[in-house]
Amino acid sequence: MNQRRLHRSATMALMLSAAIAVFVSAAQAQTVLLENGKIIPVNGEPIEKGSVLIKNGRIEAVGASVDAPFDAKVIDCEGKVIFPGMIDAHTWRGLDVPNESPGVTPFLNVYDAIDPSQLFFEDSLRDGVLSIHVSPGNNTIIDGLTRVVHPIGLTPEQMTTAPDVAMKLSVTPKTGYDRMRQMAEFREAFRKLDEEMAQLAEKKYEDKLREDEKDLTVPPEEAREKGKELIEPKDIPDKNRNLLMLSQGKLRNFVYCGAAMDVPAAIRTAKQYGFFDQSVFVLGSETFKAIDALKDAGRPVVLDGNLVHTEADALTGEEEETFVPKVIDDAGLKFALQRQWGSTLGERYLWYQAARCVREGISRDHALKSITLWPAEMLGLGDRLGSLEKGKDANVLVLSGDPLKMTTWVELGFVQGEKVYDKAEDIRLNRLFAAPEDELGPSTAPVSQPVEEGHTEVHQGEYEEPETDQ
Amino acid sequence: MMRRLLLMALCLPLITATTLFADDRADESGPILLKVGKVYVSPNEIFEPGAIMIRDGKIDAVGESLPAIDDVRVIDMPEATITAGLIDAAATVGYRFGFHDAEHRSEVVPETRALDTVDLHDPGFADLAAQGVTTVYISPDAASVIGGQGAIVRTAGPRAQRIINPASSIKATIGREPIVKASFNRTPSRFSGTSFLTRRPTTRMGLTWVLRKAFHDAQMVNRGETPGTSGEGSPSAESMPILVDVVKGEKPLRIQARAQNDILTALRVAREFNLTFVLEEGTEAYRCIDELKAANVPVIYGPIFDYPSGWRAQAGEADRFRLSAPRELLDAGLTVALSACELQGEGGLGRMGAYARRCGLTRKEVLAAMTTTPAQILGIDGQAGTLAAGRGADLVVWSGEPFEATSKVNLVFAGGALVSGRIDK
Amino acid sequence: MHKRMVFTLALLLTASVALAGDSYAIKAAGYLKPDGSIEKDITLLVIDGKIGAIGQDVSVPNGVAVVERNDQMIGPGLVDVHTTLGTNGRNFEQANSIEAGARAKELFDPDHHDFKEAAAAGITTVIIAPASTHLIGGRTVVVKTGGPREERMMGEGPLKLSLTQEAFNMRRTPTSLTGGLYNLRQMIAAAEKNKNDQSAFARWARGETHALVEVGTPEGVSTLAQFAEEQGLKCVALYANQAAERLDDAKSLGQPIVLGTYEFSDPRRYTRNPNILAANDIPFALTSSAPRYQSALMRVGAAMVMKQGAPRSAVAASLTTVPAEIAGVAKRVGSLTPGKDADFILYDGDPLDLRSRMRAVFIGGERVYVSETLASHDGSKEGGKS
Repeated sequence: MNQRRLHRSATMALMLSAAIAVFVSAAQAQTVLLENGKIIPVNGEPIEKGSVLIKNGRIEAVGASVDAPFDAKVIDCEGKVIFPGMIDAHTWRGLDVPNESPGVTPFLNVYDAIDPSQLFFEDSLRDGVLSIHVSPGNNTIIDGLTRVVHPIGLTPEQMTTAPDVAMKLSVTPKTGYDRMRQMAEFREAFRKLDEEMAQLAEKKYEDKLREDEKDLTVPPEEAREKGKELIEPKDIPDKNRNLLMLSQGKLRNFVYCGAAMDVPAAIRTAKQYGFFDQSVFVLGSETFKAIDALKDAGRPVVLDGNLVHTEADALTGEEEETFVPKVIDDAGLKFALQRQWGSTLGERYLWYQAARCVREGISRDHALKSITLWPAEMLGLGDRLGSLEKGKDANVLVLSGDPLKMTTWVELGFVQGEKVYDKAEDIRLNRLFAAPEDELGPSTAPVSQPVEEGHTEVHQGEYEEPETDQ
Repeated sequence: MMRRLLLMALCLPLITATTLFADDRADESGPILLKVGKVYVSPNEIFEPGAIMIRDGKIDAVGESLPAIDDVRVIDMPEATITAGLIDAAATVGYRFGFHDAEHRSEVVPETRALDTVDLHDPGFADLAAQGVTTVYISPDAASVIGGQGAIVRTAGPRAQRIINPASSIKATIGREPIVKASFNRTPSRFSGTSFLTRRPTTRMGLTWVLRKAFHDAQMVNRGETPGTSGEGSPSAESMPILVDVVKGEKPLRIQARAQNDILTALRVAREFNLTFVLEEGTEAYRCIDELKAANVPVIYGPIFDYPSGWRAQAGEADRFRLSAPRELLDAGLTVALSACELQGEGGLGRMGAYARRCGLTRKEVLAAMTTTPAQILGIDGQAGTLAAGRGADLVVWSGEPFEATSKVNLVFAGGALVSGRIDK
Repeated sequence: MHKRMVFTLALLLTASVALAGDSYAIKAAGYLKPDGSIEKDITLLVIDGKIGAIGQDVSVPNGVAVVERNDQMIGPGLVDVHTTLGTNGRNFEQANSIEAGARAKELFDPDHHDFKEAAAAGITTVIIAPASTHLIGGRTVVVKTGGPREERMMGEGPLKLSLTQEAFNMRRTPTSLTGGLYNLRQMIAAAEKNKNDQSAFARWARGETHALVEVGTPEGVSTLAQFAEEQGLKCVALYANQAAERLDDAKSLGQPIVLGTYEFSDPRRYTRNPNILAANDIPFALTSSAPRYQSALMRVGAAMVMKQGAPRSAVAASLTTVPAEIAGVAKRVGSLTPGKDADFILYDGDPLDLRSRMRAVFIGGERVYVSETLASHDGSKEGGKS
């Protein structure tokens, strides 16, 4: 137990020191030159040997030769690779629990539940994921607003890259619901919104008439029609604000389609209620079967962390495997990859998921974009994140080698120009590689226990007396 | 009509499956010449470019280039590499669902065989084959203090080639698993008294006693004496012949131990009874390198993981794991094989090999730890672990260099038959 | 209405009088031959409870009554190779898993009501087996479900073993399959050394006789095949419903396979197995598992597997000759062959057609069942004939 507490405080210490570094550096606005490395900008051809200049939290210059001011802190990246910070396009991790119990909760905001001390953030930093789109989980109908955070900072404010990025929705039935009820509640939510907005308009018009001391007897339809223009943002009740923005096409939205049959429903519903043009579809494992509908829709998609869909033939029992990203890529859709958190050694890393894509025949360019530029664009942050270009946020990684190579580690991580990760100072990693003589080292087991496989005793309780005759 | 139905029924698997089950079809497609970018005959003997000829289920020839003679089918894959089939020396696979993996009538059951409760057609074997693992030692369950005999089998291929050794080394376990897995163990009550449900050890003291008693009695029997006091925890008459074989050095022994004190206990017991053994798992072996070196104990190290899970997590025996462990063990000159144990997951042993490289091993070291070293430990280095002419074809064709995140397994041959992947015309 | 009833009664009486003796002849529209085909317009001659002759040119000796049943067909009595009839569930002993010396013969209660139901479903010979909750259950017994009392007990059948999950639990040893197979190896080795041991187990151990071994799953077929090959045993796999998925292992056993009870709800994956086995020349038997399942399911199962393409010859055999071979009573029952017991069934159509109703069942020449309703399946009323 002691060991665990020690570990936890070590994590806090790391966070604290990093956070302090952020504070201090902000005051100084340091200029950094990453020199002599191989640059993979993602939006263009790699530069075999070049430099990246970071200034005022932004990327100032990228090229084979870059002019740097005399006071720039120079970091030699000889033999290293400079790569944009990777972007996790969609995860509920970082929250305590994925979803609320009621299905329609558009007024919620993940800001209230982000826990900066979670090991998830520390691991993300270590693994090179510098932007994380924290979203409610998939078990919902209409859920609240999401946020893009960087995995460093003591409070959600400090962690925020962009607030209120999107609304999370789901067409796949919530637990305990069937599709009929799911869609009925979906429609009901918008109907209620319309009704309440109409009532608000009516009231506003009546108030105005009262103010102008005019005759109040007007038909409701007229009142509602004329009252519409009178509604000001401050009049809109909190609980309706987000949904209203969504229905006006002003809010990005991530719509979960767990099954192939959900896709046409999602498209139809999004178009009907005015938010299709901002939609990103979050796919389940078998949703690739609706590839034609997805292709016609032309919206970007976020793929399930489980990249291989396995199905057993009902008659013969033979298993068929489909590598889902290939189907999506072949259809010309832009996709983002998710991490599969529970596994060990592979799918936990975003770059490993991209490497699997390359394995299965997807171009390296698309694979790298699916963990950088494309998720940035899906999140509406394409002008700030996702590639090494002048003017973008300085979210930069210095890697020990090619991003898709198994032997590559993240050596340095920069968020908005500040160095937030240095492998040499990574306490947990150092402990995992500590020399045998380190007898006093605390436990390397994580504070939060990962998924445990319970041992199901085959004949549970069979030492008890049998109840009846055979 | 019936014939057509039958044909359809038998063809359906071929049409829909992405792996070919060549259960008892030997290499029916005739001789095959594989031309690739690199052939690892062994970790240190490499042809670049390389070629392998497979005929009648055997490796006909290996070299830098081979002539395409007769009716041989040439498959040209300039980016690919070929290695020997991977060998997992401590796999858990094939145990039939619904049955206990271990016999619980005693904690000492070396007379039983893991193969008796393993289904050779279990889909787990096909999964392993698809990951490039062609040979495994099926490790007996750690529920027994001295468990049964594991089996060395091929994961796929012609039925006649599957079983290499049905009753290989026995496995003892020092740790919490034999204690914890006996979850039905109850302290004796005044009503029930002691019974076979209450005799299992509940501490490492009891466990070590059972272990020592078993070998102590075996030594006595070997000298022609009669062991005294039978009763709780004594080895049964059935187990004695095999225990005597172990004591005589005629039956190999392996011991699963993860925690440092458990490994030291294993070494102590081995010293006391003059036993040689192979260490399995050895999560904290990096903490007793000198002792292991002095006793010349080979280590089947595994699995490599980011976070402990399963039994090793529940038993608290993996709290001090190190990613640097395989590197430390190799640097000290120990014989080290790598195993995925039960963590086969995505990519299995091959992926674990890639991760081992991430933790500082070279590609050649990983290949050795997954081919030549386990072959040597299992005593099958005459027939597996390297690519030699005349041997049955157990090999893997990778899409690039092995143990890379961007490489996958393209083709696998086991027992001379193509067991995974498809050769398109 | 009354008149017809009296007429019916009179006919019934005449019919029973005619069939009361042990010798009689029945003229029928056809009979089911062992190869599954129907020979038409035949006469069955029963002499002293045994089949005297059957065919198109059968001469009936003087004094033997001839009964006309030209709208009906004759099929052999069905043989059920695995039941627990008449045991009221008390065919197992809890404390021990190995009961090589137990004999189901001691459980046989001829007056038990179970047998009447079985007979009414056309099952004339059954194996009564010890329960599947033992590694070695003991020796089965072969009995008739009706007929002359002194002929009910036919003899002891093969040994029954079980390698299913039911046979292993933590209350007794062996607790697992791996322990069980070890025990078997030891016992078999001991029996092979001691040639004087003539017990059922020893003879099976030495490969002289076959035993019924319950497997329950396709994996079980493989386990059994591996063990049988290793030890040189003859094993009839019992409840190997998906044996075709392990075709090579099923073949290597070299014995018939008992497939178990098929029902309407069974998926195609199960019911196509007999077809594949038949195509590979592996004989199979169907069983009703009575009284756990209804006896009538034997015929239902036969119809299900024919629907999936199993040939008539194999299906007919699976209900009659193959189980008779397994039970060791093929010389006495299983087909309508001169010399065998007169165990037969009168159907109002093709015996293998599920729509055909059983009109009467005979065991040892004695009628043990007659159907109650008076209409035939084609809707015509026959007024009292059976």
